[in-house]
Amino acid sequence: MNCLKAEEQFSAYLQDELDYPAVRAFEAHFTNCERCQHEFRLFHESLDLLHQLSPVEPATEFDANLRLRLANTPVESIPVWYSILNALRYRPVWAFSGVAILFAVFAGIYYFYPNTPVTSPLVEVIREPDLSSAGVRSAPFAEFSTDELWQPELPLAVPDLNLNPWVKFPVRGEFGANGLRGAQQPRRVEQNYILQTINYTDVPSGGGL
Amino acid sequence: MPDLDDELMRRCQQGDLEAFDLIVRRNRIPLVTFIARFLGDQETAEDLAQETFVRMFKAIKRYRPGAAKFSTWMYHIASNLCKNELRNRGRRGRFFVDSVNREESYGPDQDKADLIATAPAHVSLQPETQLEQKEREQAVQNAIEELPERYRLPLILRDLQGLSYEEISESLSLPLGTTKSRINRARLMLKDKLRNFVESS
Repeated sequence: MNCLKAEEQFSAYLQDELDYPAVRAFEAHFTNCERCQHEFRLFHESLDLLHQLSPVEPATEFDANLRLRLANTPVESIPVWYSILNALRYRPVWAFSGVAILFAVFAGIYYFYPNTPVTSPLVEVIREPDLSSAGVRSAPFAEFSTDELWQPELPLAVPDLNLNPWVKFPVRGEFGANGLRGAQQPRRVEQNYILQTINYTDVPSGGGL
Repeated sequence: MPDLDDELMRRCQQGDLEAFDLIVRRNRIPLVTFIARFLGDQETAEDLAQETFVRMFKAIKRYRPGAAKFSTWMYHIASNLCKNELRNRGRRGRFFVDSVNREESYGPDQDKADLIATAPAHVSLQPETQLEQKEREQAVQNAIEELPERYRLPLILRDLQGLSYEEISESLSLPLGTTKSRINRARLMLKDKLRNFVESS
């Protein structure tokens, strides 16, 4: 043990908090080290001085002033959630049972009423106005069957002209006045090919073929 | 055996306000001492001690006897108020002159003359003994105030208020090991600060 280590154990040694081997090691160093003996004496005396400090008495009007303040201070009431949490704080079984019951209730509702509409004040439900009483014919789309319903035609994918420089795509004006491309309209695509003719008779035959 | 303060708090919760008066009487001196030794200013210490009692009174229904010691709860509130006070002082940039054990209106000579004029017979109450004690307390108080806040609080709670390590760690919301090491470090720092005083005396 060195002096630094011994100094760190002054408090523990003074208050009998060291175990037996630590006490033996401390005392073995302490009996041979004058510096540590001096430091320990200083430590002991400074603690004595600290313990000798007298208590500070409050002024005589302390009680009167405090009573005045307490008379104007309302006692805070405990909110319900606080008392519930407080009751469950040291009862983990109760808390776990509560959570399990809540889970079972919600699972039961979901199981027995899977299609129950969720009505929430946050969701605004728009209903068709009832115009029959006002002599107005109902909306025409209501008379159509589902087969006749208009279905929007998805636009074709626009090719990237940079992908293949050999494919020429028509410009928008070539498809007629409306400028739309539909499935019925012919797709006019001009493709240019480069054909390379290889004359095998010119190939030298010295390679073993 | 239940703690007396716990029993008094239970009575307070049932509406017996005289029990709170008893609590104040039992704890006002330790509380004012704790704050005064920490801040080095008795006037502020009394204000903060009153504020501590007021906060305890407000939250009287939240206290659960048996869950934590009463003193732990009280010193927890008081140490938070002390920390706030130190922070506010730093923000305001104010300097507080230490008034614990210090009479502002009396100079040392006037003080000595008064003590000699009213000298009692007993040795411990002799003016010179009283002066020595005053000087000694002043030196220790100055040394305490020079300690950093995080070392000062556990030291005062342990060596002046006599709380156990567990109570201190609960009051200051610190781990037990940190509390012990801070107290040890604080004592060593105090020894270094009082070195000149102890060696000269």
